[in-house]
Amino acid sequence: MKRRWISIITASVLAVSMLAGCGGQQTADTAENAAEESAGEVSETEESGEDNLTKSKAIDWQSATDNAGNPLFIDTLIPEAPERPEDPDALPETDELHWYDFEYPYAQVEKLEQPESPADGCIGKKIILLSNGDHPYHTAYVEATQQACEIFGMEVEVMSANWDANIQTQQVDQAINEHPDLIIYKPVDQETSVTHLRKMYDAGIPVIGSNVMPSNEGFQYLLSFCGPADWDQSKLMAEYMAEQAGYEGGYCVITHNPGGSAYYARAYGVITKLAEIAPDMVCLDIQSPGTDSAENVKQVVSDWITKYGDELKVIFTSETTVQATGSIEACEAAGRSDILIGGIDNSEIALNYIQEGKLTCGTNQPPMQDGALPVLLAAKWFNGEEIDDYVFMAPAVINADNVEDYLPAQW
Amino acid sequence: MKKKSGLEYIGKFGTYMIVLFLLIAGCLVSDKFLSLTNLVNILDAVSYLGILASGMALVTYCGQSVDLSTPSTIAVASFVSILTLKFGMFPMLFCTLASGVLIGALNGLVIGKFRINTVVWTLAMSFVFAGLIRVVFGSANIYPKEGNVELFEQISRYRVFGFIPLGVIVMVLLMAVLHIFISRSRIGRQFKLVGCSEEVAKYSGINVLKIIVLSFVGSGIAAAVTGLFIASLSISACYNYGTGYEFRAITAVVLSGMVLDGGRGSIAGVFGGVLAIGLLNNIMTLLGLNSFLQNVVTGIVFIVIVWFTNYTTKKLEALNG
Repeated sequence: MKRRWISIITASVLAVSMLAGCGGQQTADTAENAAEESAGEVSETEESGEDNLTKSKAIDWQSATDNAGNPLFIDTLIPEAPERPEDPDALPETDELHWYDFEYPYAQVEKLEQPESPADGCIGKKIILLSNGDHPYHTAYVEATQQACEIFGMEVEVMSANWDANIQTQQVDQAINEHPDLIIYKPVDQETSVTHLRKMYDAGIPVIGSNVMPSNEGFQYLLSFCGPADWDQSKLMAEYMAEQAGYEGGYCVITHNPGGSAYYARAYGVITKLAEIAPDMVCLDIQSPGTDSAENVKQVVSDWITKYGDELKVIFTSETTVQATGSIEACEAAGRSDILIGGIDNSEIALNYIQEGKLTCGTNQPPMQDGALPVLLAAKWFNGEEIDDYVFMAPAVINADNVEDYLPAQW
Repeated sequence: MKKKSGLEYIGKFGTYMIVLFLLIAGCLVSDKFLSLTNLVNILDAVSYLGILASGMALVTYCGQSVDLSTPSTIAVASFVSILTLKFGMFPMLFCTLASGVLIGALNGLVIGKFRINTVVWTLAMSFVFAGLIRVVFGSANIYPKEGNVELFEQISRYRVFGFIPLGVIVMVLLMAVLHIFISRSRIGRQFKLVGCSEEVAKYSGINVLKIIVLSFVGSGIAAAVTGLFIASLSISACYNYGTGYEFRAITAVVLSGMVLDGGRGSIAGVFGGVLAIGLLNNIMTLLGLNSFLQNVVTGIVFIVIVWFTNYTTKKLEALNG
């Protein structure tokens, strides 16, 4: 009997913990309050004869700031895809057009007819954010989404899939059943994104993709896509690092996790740009030790230093927490402070390293602005304004000269 | 008789034969392989894994399979270390180790007392603590702001005699102490007996519950020390800092020749298993194999060694009648 009870308790603990650890679902209280207030305001508005649309359009979002006092809504760029080569695979990997379908996955897509904008104002609208998972970056992202929704008087519900595509599939169904006015979708993986997007499209719910690109086919279902300009920021970093290295020397690349768009963008953006502007810089090796363990990265970089010795001049990392830490520690342990290390993004760790002179540069990929951008697009769409199909955050290099401008860090 | 002693020899020193083979292969791959810097790098690269695996080995040795709660214990310890740093280094160390002791004791008590499946319970605990961390901290990184941050950073960066990383010293000392404890002490022999047969141990008057609790406490402490080093290296704490370590630790334990059913193997063997992983990774990077191919090779080596361990164990059992 005792065993049976213990088994039941164990099973319950497991079930509760899985619910706690996975598939977290939060409702943004502040946004709800704001929405309630907005709803109240809406009725007041109606009573006073004013139009919700007029009031929505009058919202001052331009002056909103993040925790560092920087604008919450930053400059964006609208990408222009070049002409697709007949057979990109026939081109060498160092040619940027070889990666055409990865860099411009949307370029060959014919979008399906999208829902008409209600054009009745953003105030009082409900948005569901289908987030891919928990991570310090995404915590700041979600915080900004909630802040932006509050500014626009919209309600937001956040569902996090904890990096599990199956959980995201369930959350897509749940989101559809709740009939929100719009969904912001950050896919867990590209494979399942098509099915998810098709379901939401068939349900007649407009979807804005954000942060992570869906598969090529998935773009046809999207109202718009916005996020970091991954290819542009890695090319920009490559340009800066090449200049710092004097356009010569061997370099190694640590990739992002395989499976996502960042894996190709953050490695081959660098490689193709260097092939173009610094042909004397030689790619010595590319490795994928992951983004979870600085110890693993440290081992790989230590091995590179052993193998390539003085030939190794530059290391590129695809993120700046685990990978930059592992690289810096390996170089310091080997007494190789001459090796230049550049990483993508702007975590607090990265900014500290840049200040200390241990990291040559990072890139400005601010999670708060990333999280606010789809809300801005949604608000514009609800207000009946035209929105672009693809909108990216303008990238920038963060170095010792301008790091103060990016402090305090967002994550 | 000769065949039996040969198989016993392989069972006992098989891991070190792999290490020897890898050392020879490394010399052939690169002339820099045997440099002192490279050898220290190899040890440094597996030091945290070695610390974790030595604790995990206690659980395996006393027949409790594996402790899958270690990733969360690592994460909890990393948070505890950063949150308590403001109270000073010694209180921080005490609290961090205490977090490992508490999680280990809870695991050991529940598993030893109620005979719940180890894998299910420790996995559940892993979910519980990972979930709690995310509920409390919202999956954000936390950074040390108060206390002696510079000294905290040195835990993972300090090099004894300016050359040997502190993590390596801790790993070697921990393994040496545990090896002597397991092979020479009375309680160590009780670990072995519980691992071989809990029923026999129970009827021999051994307090089986105490031994199981001790094994999990050992695993918890080792995971907490690993968490402390990782937090110091990253100068931060995050819920996912222990991700993947448990499977690498299990690999090291299995490579050591330790049987998951318990009662066989040694901590010295675990040191060999950890060394084998470090050497294999080092050689593959020196060869220029990409990460995906490295995973394939590691997997194949793992399968071959597990098969070989099973083969020699069965042969020995057959020869022993």
